[in-house]
Amino acid sequence: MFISIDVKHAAVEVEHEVKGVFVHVSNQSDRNNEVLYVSTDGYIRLTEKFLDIIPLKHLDSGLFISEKTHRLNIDEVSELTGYTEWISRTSPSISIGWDWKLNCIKNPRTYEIVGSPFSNLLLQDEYSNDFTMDQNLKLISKMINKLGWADDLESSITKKYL
Amino acid sequence: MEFITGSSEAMSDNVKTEVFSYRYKVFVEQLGWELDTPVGREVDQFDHKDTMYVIAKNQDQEIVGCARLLPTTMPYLLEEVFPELLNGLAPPKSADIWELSRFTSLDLKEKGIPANSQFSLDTTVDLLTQTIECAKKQGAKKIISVSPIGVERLLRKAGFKAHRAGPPKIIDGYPLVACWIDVE
Repeated sequence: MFISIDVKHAAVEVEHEVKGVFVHVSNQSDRNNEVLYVSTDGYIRLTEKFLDIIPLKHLDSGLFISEKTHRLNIDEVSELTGYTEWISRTSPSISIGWDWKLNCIKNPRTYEIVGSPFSNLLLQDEYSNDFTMDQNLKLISKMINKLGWADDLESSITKKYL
Repeated sequence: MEFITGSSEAMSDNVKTEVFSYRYKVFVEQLGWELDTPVGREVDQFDHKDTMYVIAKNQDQEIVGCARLLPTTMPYLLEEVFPELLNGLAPPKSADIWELSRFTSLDLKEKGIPANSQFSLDTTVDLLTQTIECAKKQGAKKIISVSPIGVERLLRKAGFKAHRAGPPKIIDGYPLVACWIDVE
């Protein structure tokens, strides 16, 4: 019961999504075996290339304004802001959240990241040295930009508020 | 703004009654948390003689913010109720790690507060700073917090080194997250 990731071919095979099992990441020569684990400081340490091949799933999104039951008319507001949360279906789980804004006047409407993300992930270089916090958050932001997150976010927001 | 800091044992019953009443208004009435607590008083098993409180009062001596600190050497909220927020890591048990919970800074007389907000004051960052300073005086080198994700934003705004311990848990429609905060 594990998720095996073939680095060379960047193929991801999910055998079972079961809590309490490790994720085994390896390349064909088996020299770069990595197992996801939580350090005592709470971080999951991982090299960037492995992050690229671990799929992230949408967990939750919401708005910073208004109460949950309030129904929004998107045509009556110029801008929306909120949060979105994404996780890996691994155990332990990588968690990445960020704030966003939607300019409702622009056509087409576009979602933008606001500020730096929040995460339990600390990326390392190829020599297993931790990146600085600034570098880490920039690399995670870069990964978010490749994620294609707007559709899941919009679907979640629509269900909750619109 | 006045900040009052002290252990439950050292605080008068009147002050504690005010704190629990304020917490009820914020967490149960304002935020809609479904807590197993008496009507009018938000209090649980983690409010005991060794619990530390940091309280913010306005010039009219009304409570407008509070925080709760617990040593992790004793049972604490994250360990007992939300251990899954630690992402598989065993809950810490150390004299130099304290838990922050029930953090809020909300003037209940203020108009137009969004229903899901627990922070409304410009002084929220000051209360957070006072709370972390209080933990430091108790010997804390790290704090583990359990709170809505808004606290992560506050910690960053206040310039503290902090990061989440794992994925949030969605409770009553809002994400709750554990955060590691460096005190030193």
